[in-house]
Amino acid sequence: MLADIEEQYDRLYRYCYFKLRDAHLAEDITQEAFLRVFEDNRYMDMKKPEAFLYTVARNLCMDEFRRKKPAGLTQEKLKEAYTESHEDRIVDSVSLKEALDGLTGMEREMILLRIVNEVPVEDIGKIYGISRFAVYRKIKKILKKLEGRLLYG
Amino acid sequence: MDKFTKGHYKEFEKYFEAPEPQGKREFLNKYYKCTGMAAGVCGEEQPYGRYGFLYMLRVQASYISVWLWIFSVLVFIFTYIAGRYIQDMVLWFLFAVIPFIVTFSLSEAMRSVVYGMAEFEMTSRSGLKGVIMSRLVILGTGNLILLFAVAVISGGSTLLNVVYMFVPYLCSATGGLIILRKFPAKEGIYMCCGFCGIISAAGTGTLQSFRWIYGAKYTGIWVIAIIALFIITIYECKRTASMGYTGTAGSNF
Repeated sequence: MLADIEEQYDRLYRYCYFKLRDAHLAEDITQEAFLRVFEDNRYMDMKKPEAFLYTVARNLCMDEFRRKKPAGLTQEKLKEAYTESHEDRIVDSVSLKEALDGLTGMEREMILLRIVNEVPVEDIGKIYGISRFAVYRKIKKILKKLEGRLLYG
Repeated sequence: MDKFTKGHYKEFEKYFEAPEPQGKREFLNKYYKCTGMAAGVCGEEQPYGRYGFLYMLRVQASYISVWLWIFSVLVFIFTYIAGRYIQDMVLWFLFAVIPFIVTFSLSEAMRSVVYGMAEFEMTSRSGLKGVIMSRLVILGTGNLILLFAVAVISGGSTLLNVVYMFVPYLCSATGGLIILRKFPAKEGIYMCCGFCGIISAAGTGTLQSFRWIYGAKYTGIWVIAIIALFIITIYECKRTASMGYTGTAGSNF
């Protein structure tokens, strides 16, 4: 069962917002993901449904992204919108922000899941369909890359 | 990860910060109301409209081909008639037929996979695991009832009949499940037919040429074989049902 639904809600919403950059849409998808997971019979078999929840949310975000893409929602625009919306309010440490901006979307997603949302390595593996060793290696590599960027610019 | 301090992790959180969610309280209040839980405490109650395994069995039973039930009834009728008039032939007939009942049942249970519906059923609320498992339960229970019924009406010792009939049944079931798990769906069904044919021939052959193994002296071995095969069959049922659902979310959902 979900350990703390309030906390999970916030984390999933943060993840959806990261994927979509639209607060209303992110919240709709967060709620839709929760409803789908609650209604699914497989949910009861799962001791840790986080991976299932994130997978449903990720797929819903992808559907939304595909649906919106023809209207001009490209990766560049997303990045642009992202940078603008975060510029004035969030990160104090400019260098860390720059270092994170320099990562690919997938790498940032990994950081969000593992470090910010504290999703276990095993569950991240389930979300992406890779082994936990592969997840561990990828995260280590991303952190090393970040560290390099922070030290040498 | 050691080189990043707690301060860095706080920065990460800030970087990924999202605006305050507007509909969170309303959504969660509905959830708490629905499950009868106090806010902030997540219990074991089942939220929203989930259904139980019995409902699943009832739904899946209606999708099982009527020919399978007709075939089972015909086997029962034939055994009843043969039991009254040609008693010696009953066991021989049952040994020949039982493996094929298993093949029909397995092909019925695996219909979603054989006809390429696995992808579709994986998107349903229960998933392929639930569908296959419920069909295996229905067909397995149906077969067991049939075997007990024919063991009672076929004459001779009912207990011994049950013992002798269950060995080819469980052998076919175990072998069939392993074949279906190892080989592609359609080819697996053909191979399953072949395997059950071999079991059928071996059963009738031993009844004719090695009748001594059906003596009271060897009953213990038959019972041990049944227990071992029963355990393996249950294990294989679970593995087959998990075939389309490995428990890893990423590869299946």
